[in-house]
Amino acid sequence: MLFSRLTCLLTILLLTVVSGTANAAPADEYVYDAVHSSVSFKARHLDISWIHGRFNEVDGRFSIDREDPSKSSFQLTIKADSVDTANAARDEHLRQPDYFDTKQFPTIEFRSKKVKAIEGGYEVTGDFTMHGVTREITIRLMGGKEIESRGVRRVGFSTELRLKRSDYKFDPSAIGPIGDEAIVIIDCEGMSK
Amino acid sequence: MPDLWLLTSSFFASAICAAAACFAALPRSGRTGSGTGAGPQLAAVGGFAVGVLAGMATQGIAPALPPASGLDRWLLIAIPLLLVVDAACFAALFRQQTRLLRLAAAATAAPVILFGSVHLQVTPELTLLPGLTLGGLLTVMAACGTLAAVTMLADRGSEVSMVWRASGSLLVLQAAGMTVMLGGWIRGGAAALPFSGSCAGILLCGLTLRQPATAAVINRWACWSLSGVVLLGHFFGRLSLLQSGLLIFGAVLPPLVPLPNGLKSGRIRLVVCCLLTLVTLATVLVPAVVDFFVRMRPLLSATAADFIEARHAQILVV
Repeated sequence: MLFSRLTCLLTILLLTVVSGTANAAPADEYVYDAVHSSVSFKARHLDISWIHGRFNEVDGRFSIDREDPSKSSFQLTIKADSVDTANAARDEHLRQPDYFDTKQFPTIEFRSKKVKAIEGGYEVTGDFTMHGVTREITIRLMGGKEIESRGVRRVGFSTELRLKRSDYKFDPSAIGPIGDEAIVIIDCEGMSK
Repeated sequence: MPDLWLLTSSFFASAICAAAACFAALPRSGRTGSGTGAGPQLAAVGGFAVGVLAGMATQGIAPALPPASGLDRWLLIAIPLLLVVDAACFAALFRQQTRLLRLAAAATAAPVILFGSVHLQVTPELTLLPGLTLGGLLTVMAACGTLAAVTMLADRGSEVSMVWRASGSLLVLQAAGMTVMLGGWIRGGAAALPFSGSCAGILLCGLTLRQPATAAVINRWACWSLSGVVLLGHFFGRLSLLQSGLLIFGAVLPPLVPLPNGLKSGRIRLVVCCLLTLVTLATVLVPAVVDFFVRMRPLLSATAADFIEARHAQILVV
């Protein structure tokens, strides 16, 4: 009698565990595809036009839980040394301590803390670290459509954020002809096997 | 583009404040040229500190708290530490081993400047500690060794008078700041001015009051400041290893170069010393100026000058 009750209880427990595991679909993991992505920026010059640049070395990974978006996460690491404004002298100048100080602060990073699904994408709140200063920012990652191409699953996102250099303790004397505000444009694809 | 008026003001503000503070701190007997003991040297160290603060305030250099960059750490940690140790040595708080203490304090500037930077993470496959690799350790040791060598050489006796040696170091310090600025790091190079201004102010004060002891202090401080500016310029700016070596040793070696017996008179030695210093400076400065005009100047003029023109045009339109 006792044995049959115990067997029954164990069966129920086992079934519960198995069904729970089957319901919790794991989040999809993606790595940043450097070939089909770009992180670029533009800043005002003399308040009349824009100077454009990009970062050539970027790494990142995303974890997307379609059923429970709050469990998703996004990470992006940009090598500040890879700044490219199509002018070698200006790039060298930008790497120096008056600007990015790349020998002291080699990376620019974003680490998500909170993800919320919105129409057409996700609203992601996280820590953005640049020039040794970390600030919480919220970005709207638009996209998220997934396709499979040549056996590789791909997902794409786009966002645009506005940052003030003065918020990140850039040398105030270096803010003048080049505007304080920079617009960062991120278009990225993630790959998953 | 650097603001020349601001830089000149910073130099003179630090020189005037350093000289005034040194004069005020000199023992009364010292003002008539008969001061003995550590009083004049302590006054020189105190005056130097006041002058540097005045120069930095004039330029608006305010290091971040907590210090984040190499320049912040040098200004907030390495320099105050050196000031305290140097003053303590003069005040006879440490009666023995003062030379060793100064060497240790000077060498400390290297890891302080390099802390947290990519230079401690070279050859990442040989990681010793988090944030420190074997390559990084060797880099720090080389920088520490350079600073210790400069401190030793700055104190070594020579037939060239300390006033001339301090003047030479001061000149090289100015040149180092200028080279760092020409390389594109304006704030880093400009940071040399409060130091050179203070050295100049105290040197003049010491000469006026006939206090030769202050010249030795100033020579050492000019060499320490120079080493700091050069290390910063090399590791964070665009100062090459050759430029750095020439600047650092161009300040301390010329008075110590051995000369043949026939050329050992004081005057000839002084001429040789001045020539060597000037040749070293020319070797560093001429390529730096050429590089600036070829590469940086078009870039800077296309920002600063155009900005002024555009503003002017806007005002005219309005």
